Amino acid sequence: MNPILQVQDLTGGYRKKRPVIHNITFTVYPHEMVGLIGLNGAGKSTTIKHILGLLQASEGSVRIHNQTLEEAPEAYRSSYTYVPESPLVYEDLTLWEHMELTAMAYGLERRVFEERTAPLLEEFNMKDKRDIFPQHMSKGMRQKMMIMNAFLVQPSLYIIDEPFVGLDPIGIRSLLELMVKMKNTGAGILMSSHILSTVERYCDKFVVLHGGRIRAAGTLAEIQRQAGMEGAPLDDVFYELTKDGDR
Amino acid sequence: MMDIRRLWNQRMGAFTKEALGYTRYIANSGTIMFLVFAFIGSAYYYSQLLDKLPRTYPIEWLIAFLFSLLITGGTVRTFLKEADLVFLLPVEARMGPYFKSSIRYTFVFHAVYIFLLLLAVWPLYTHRMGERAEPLVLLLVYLLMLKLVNLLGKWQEQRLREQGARIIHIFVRWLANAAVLFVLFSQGFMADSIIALLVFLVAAFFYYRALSRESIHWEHLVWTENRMLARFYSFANQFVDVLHRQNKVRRRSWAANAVNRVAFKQKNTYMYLYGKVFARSELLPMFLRLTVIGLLIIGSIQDEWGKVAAYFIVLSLTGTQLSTLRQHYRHVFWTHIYPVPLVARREAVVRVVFVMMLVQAAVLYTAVFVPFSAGWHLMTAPLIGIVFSYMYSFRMLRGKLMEK
Repeated sequence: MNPILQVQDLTGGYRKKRPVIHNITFTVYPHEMVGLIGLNGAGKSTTIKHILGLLQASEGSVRIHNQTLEEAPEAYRSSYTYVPESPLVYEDLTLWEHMELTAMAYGLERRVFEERTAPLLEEFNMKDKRDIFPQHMSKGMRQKMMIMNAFLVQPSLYIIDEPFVGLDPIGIRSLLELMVKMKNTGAGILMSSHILSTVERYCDKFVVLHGGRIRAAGTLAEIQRQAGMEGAPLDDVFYELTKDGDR
Repeated sequence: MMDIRRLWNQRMGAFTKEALGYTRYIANSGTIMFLVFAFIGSAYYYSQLLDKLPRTYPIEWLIAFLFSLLITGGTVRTFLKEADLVFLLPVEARMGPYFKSSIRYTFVFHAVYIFLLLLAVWPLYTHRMGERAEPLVLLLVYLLMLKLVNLLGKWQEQRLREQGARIIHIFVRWLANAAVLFVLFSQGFMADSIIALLVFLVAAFFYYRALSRESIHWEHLVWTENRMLARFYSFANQFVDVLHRQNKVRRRSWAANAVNRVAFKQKNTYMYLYGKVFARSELLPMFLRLTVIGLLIIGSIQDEWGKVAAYFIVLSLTGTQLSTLRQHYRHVFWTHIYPVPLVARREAVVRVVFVMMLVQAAVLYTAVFVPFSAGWHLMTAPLIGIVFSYMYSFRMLRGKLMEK
């Protein structure tokens, strides 16, 4: 099976001369959920920004469906949606209008858009909130808005950055169910989070970043072996992998 | 202990410094030149008006009306911030000197406005009154006292919780001001009217003193301050990018829903966004104001050249103001994420500006017919409207956007 996302020997950061991440390599296949984990400042957000195409690699490459952003900008951009760590919203648009805008940006048909929005609003309990402005939303509601926008498009790749903070328990459950559903239909998901128990339970593979480098990667069994801690929970493995002095 | 007065001085100083920073850009923008020309032009028309205006024309009504607006209006600049709801709330009882400074500060600005308006209408006033005109200095002192009383009253009214109540107070004050000012400008200083005024003032004093025992309506003050800041920033924004301005968003369904009529297509993504932004930002009211003013001015000018010139000037003013649309969401994140070409954003801004200029050109054209007289201007005006709208948006504005 062809991978959806291929990150190959990626080195980069905000300035060419001073890379923040080094030699990052991992792939996301269809039907796969990959957990990107690491401490604050480990390079998770920088890695994600490179995948989004917001930063330029000084070495290595990022490919989605085997194409780089430069080779096919529109195809690259339409293949994924992104849920940012903190909601990025238009103060001038209501919830509904944000969704319309997303649908237009990704070229969804009106009919498809309407078919998909109703269940999403239902699922996240936002049906009566569709005409309110972000100003009047709580952090959790804004987060839900971001999630609904991302899942509305049904792309082949989801890039989800720390989605659980601010969400209520039902919202978290809805999000996880949606992710599983999309995974089962063949999408790939790259999720970064600090909630290790959730990551352990839902992700098929893990990428442990530390100090801008990959410390371990693979299935749970594989990273347990890399840490020399067979059978240990992800929590402990993660702690072992990141506790050393080079922070 | 918190030094309240020093806090006020700091905030006022910070704002003044920021405001002065913008004056440099305003001076560089050619606005000064425009104002000089506008001043010379209007001075010319003004002197012509004076020659033609019969001495029997009751211009004092207009003068009294203008002053009634200036004296009733005006809001105290408090320099409050949102976080004050947490941090200054506990010291409310000691805020007296802070707010006094605010009232003084606001009064100084309004005193200047009153002085300028008085200078402006002075020729009209003496033209109409002749020998009966009161001395300028006495009028000024009287008006300033009236302004101060109004400002103090306004400050106390800000304590009212109900917006309806605040509006009624303003309206009553306006009626009283209008009456006082009309007597002043038509009759001059009359002993009976001054005594009536004093009685009125004493009653108002007791009323407002009772009102002053209410606690301060913090949220309303903060909201008002933010609104005034937003107004300042949107003014400054016409000359230079203002980074941290907060836009006041209004729902305006009637306008915003009209935007839903753009086809639900990928290429219209940014048309949709900028249509909504236009409908909900301060741009739409600006557009409507200029349109109404334009209609009045074009309709009231008699000669053909004047009509066409006014038509063009109003349209170009609108274009300049509309072009600030380009600064909305200039650095927004999603632009880089959406699978839509980057240039689409620029093209959408250009198109929204073009469409709105065309709309205004069409509306203003109706005023070219008033009063109807056949002539070359009937053909020329729409031509100018269409060509200028196109040139301004698709050539000048697009060019400006491409530089960046």
